[in-house]
Amino acid sequence: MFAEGSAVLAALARCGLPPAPPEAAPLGRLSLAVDGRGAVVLSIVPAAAPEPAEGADPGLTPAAEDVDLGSGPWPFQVRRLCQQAGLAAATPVLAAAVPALWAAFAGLQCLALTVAVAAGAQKEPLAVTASVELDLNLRQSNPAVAELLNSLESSPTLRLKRLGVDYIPMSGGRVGLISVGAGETMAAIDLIAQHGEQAAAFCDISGGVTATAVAAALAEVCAAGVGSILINVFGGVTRVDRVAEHLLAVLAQAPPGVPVVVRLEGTGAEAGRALVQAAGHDTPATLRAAVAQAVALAGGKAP
Amino acid sequence: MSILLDRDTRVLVQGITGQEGRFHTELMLAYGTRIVGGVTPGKGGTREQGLPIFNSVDEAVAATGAEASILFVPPLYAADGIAEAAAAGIRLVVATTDGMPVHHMLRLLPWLQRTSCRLIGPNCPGIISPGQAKLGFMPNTAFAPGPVGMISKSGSLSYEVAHCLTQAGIGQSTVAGIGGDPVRGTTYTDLLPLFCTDPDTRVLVLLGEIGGVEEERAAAWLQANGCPKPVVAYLVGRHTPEGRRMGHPGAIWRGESGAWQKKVAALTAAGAVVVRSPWEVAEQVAALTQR
Repeated sequence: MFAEGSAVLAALARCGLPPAPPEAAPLGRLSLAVDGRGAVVLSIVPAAAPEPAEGADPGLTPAAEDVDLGSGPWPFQVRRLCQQAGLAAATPVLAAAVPALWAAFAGLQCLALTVAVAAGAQKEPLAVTASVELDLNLRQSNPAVAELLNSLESSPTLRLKRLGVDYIPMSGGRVGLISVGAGETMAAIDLIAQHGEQAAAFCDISGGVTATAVAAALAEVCAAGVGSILINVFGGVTRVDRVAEHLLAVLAQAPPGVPVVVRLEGTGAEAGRALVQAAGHDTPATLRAAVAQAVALAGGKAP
Repeated sequence: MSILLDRDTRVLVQGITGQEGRFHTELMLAYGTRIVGGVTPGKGGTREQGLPIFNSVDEAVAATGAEASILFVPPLYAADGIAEAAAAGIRLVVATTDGMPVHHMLRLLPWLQRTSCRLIGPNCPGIISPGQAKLGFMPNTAFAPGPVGMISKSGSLSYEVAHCLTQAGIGQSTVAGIGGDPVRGTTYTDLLPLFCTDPDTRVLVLLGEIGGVEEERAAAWLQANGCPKPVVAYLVGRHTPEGRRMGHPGAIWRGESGAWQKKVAALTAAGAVVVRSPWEVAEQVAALTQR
């Protein structure tokens, strides 16, 4: 979960890096992040450099150094990175900001933390802007993470995450997809696209198989104005018959108004399929058939 | 044959007396896994499903000769449980735990590297050698014994593909779910050499997804070392939005970083056959095994 603004600046201030006045011009941007190798890297770039995109792998940044978790960044690493970034003159200010950045990164136990640093009147470092990518696994155990999350404006993604559902809206899709497992959900999204349609969202309910979570997920998917809904569950640890029970209860209470295709496989699938069929819904035998049917019902061009 | 796990592997269950531990122990025993005991601090001396319970992994290893362990403990305590198992000399730990903080793994990995312990996971379905044993919670019906070795970041995707293979009459030697977190104990490149030298694995299936660089590293390993067996790869996430984490904390792409196209290009250049659906994996493997 990505957060920025005053709440992040306040977190940095508590670690010793106070916010800059609005007119302050940043010297450089410092970032600590977990990269695709599972290492923590420190990078320093000029303030005028393009903003690092959320999700960009910091390990691929040319001027980046691995950081030892025990020691934190060493001053020589900061000097070297400043040199590489053409920020040698700003080294004292940027170097003075690094301990606070490290303290905040370690305290928030975050995936990435970026701060644009300016110099104050006494050449002390000040934070102009800051952003953080939080580890939602810590939302209940780390008070600083919980505080930051509470400060965020509520979004469907955050609201559903609180119920254990991973939800990422995707614009323009006509197939409302609800699935179990991140890989299976991505596979279904790709297969729907291969059939000429788009999924309306990434919606993985594996972390929240309750009636409340299923109802919330279904409501969100329906709100996207879909032409059909595909429920795709290949259960391992998730009991498929339980999903079916919750789903049927939700569908009975709030019919979505569009056709629903339910594909069930894995742990408890036989019982789940029997329940769904008894309620009058289609249960295609394979993912291939389910995708084709959902796309056709959405008005797409299933082969 | 299989890799890492077979019917003779002596297994401990850490967290065996919890609801999940108890439930999955029963299923793993029914599958044939040789579970020799469990560990729950404070409950040593009791029994669960006929198995002895110990207060520590040290005690359990001394009494049972266990060499592998699976954890069913809450996410915030998983790192400690893994470290305890490694310190006790366990050679294989499976952590199915979902929700383990990334910083816990960052602390744990350097520590594990000083031991001879291999960690599978976290946030994974575990490992199964069909017809012999499983350490995890995969649905039994999706798997059958046979010649395909499979490595997957995603549990659900591995079930789907194994199901397609099994339906096509093609079984698996070992299926390892390595997990979708950005920091994990075992990667593709750790397991590729094992599958390449396993006499009963004739075809490798690599299931990947957007994010990170591990598919590219697998491709580099294949190019550098060669593999005497054909490799079929299926990667998901091509049509996901840029810059968003797709459920798995590691599943995110931006520009070329972590992008599907880059991974597919790397694996294709390394000689892998890259397919576009779970059923094409089965079709391709069928064609390769019939040659």
